[in-house]
Amino acid sequence: MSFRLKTVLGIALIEAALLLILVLSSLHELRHIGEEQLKQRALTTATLFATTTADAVLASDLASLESFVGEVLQNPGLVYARVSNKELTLAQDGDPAALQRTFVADTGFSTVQDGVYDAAAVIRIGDQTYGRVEIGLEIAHLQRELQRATRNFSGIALSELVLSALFSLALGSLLTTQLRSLIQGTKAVAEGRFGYQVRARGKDEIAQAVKAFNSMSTGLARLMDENAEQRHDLQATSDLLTGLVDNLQSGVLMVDKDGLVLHANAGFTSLFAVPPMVGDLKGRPFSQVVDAVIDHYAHPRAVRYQLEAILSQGEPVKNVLFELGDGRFVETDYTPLIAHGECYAHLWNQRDVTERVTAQRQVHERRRQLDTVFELSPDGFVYFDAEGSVTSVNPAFCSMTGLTLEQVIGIHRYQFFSMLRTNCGVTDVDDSPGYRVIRTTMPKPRVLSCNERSLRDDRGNSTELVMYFRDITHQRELDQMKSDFLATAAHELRTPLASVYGFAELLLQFDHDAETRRDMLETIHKQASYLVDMLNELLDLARIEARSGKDFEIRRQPLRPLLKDAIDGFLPEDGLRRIVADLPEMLPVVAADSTKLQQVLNNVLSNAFKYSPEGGDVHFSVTADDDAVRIAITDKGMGMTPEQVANVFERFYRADKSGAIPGSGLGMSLVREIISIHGWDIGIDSEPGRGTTVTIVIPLAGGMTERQRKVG
Amino acid sequence: MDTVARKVLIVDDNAGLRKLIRLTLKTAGFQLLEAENGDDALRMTKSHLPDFVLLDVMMPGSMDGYQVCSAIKNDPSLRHVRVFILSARAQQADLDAGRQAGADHYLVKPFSPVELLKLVQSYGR
Repeated sequence: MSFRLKTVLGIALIEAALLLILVLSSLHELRHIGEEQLKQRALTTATLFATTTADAVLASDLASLESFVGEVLQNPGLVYARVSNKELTLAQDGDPAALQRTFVADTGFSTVQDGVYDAAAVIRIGDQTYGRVEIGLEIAHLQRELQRATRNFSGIALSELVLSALFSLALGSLLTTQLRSLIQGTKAVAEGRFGYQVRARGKDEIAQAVKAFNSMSTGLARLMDENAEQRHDLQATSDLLTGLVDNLQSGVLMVDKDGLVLHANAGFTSLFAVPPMVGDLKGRPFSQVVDAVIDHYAHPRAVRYQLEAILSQGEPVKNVLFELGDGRFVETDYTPLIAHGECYAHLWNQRDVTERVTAQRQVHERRRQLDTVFELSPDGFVYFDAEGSVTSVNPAFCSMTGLTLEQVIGIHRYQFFSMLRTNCGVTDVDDSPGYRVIRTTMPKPRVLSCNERSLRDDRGNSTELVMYFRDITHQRELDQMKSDFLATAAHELRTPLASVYGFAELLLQFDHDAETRRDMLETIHKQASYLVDMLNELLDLARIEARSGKDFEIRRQPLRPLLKDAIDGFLPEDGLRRIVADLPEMLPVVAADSTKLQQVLNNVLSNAFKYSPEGGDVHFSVTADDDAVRIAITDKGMGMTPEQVANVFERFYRADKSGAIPGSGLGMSLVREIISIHGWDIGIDSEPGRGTTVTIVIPLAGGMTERQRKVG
Repeated sequence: MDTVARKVLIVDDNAGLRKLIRLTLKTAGFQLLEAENGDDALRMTKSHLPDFVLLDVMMPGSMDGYQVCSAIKNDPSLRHVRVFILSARAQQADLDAGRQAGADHYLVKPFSPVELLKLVQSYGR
């Protein structure tokens, strides 16, 4: 219900009610007053008439009485008058109809039936009642007055009601119009039409309210302008930031506190090769985004678990590394954004760090490889840092020098060598260009070559240093042995050559008798053939050593025929002595190079005969069991001392130096090489003066050595 | 005094070589003695006082040629004995050792017998 209506109705109701009361009570009062006045008048008139007529009644003056009645009827409103004595009516006049009616005294308006107020008065003189008068007053007149009053009052009241209703309507309208303008203005401002002004009418409170509204509107408009400016700036900044974020290489995902995506830049979507739908990600729940990309990860469940853990912790987390299914690596940062103690957004930052991780892994792998090499290298390494102090050594160095890392760590280069000297008992230092050779006595006598390499940085400044040691003891020994061998070989050749050369010269320069000449020539021939043998054996030995038996033709073949051939083919020099052979009928199959085996047997048999010049048979006996075949060649000759036995296989070792027994000293060396390459074994059992037994042991299947397996 | 046959002591463990030297010098009228090792060599030098000792270096026994040479040269009574070292060893070190030992000459095998003869004959002139 509108204000106006409310006002109007309210006022009208109140007014109506009050006016009604007023009118009704006024009318009532008026009626009452009228009634009283009528009664009074009636009574007064009646009484006066009674008084007037008293004498006449007494006198029964009818004429006077009639004139009195006529006079009384002159009173306005009198309808009839009647005078009666106690018996009869003496005089009456007035309205005939009224005269006819039986007289009943009225007491008020309420008892009047015929429009006439009937009143009576008693004629009394003294205490005597002589008669009565009766009159009737017309009340219609009064009634008419009353009605007129009622009408007037009602009319006034009604008009008053209407007028006041109209007025309040008007006022209400005025009020509501102003209010409506105000409402309109407020709505306009609410809609955004800041600065909207409402027209103010007058100076009353409404107008003031309107004015206040207007200034508020103006104020708002100004604020809005400022606001608009700020917003413009903000927008510009926001655009800048958005541009920045969108062009970052790393993927940025921002989620509001309700879990909805605020922003996802291109870097983020491209990371997962999600088709460009940056706009579509906005507003989506974070969980949905996670679901969309989770399968790109190598271990989705673990990733989910970790993300949940991060979120539930609510703490900033940096550099969490994840592997993607396609082999790429991403690093993620999480930052909860806090303002006023409350987290208003979640920031996720993802970077593709595949290159870095791959590089790191490569470096790590390389490191591992290098470390492995470092650890495994048989050469000793000592590593000095840029300050020149030892930072690491490898195990080979420690075993070479008997020093531990703890002992050398931190030692400066300049003190390093003297420390080495002291600890290893360095006896010899040989400085050659580029390297240095040192002989140590502790922990073992060794020959070490020592080399240095500086690691230079990009500008050529020497930074770190690597010192490496190589154990060349064996190499040196070998070199020594080789040169010894050569020297010895050359040396050995000289002596027979001296004979050949010398005797040849003697034959050329001087005359000799036939016998001497023959003798000399024989010597030349013998020495020359000895040289040939020596040369051949030397070459054989050299070749065998160099080839390590690679050119051996080892074939599985029956042993017996090989042995038989060796025995039958052997011709002792003097042609008289024989080999006493003891060969079982059944001999196994062995893996052997038949030629080389012949050579071995030949050499051993040859020695057996050579070293038993007194004579005696040479026994060749063969035994076989499950493990091995044993070939024993025995002579009853001069035998060997323990020292000789120890050296028998040495190259050029001659048990007999006198030259009485020919031989290069290489025969047994050759035998040993051949035996070794076959993976067999050889043993000497000898007693000076008693003889020698050489035993060759051929292991059977399962007893083969590595070497034989390799060669075979 | 070249009419007096001069004594030569041949020291070598190789019989063939001893034979060579023997045959070389015999025709020149030298008196020849032979030893097979250093100990014998020294003993025989002391006992027979040869004019020359032809000495191999590598020999069995407790003394090698250098030691024998030194022994002879350091012995005042034997100082006059000419010692020729005949060796298969041809390194400078060996030659130096020979000189250090006091050898009068160092010959490397194989050597020319004629040269040896000339050498021996050149001494004591």
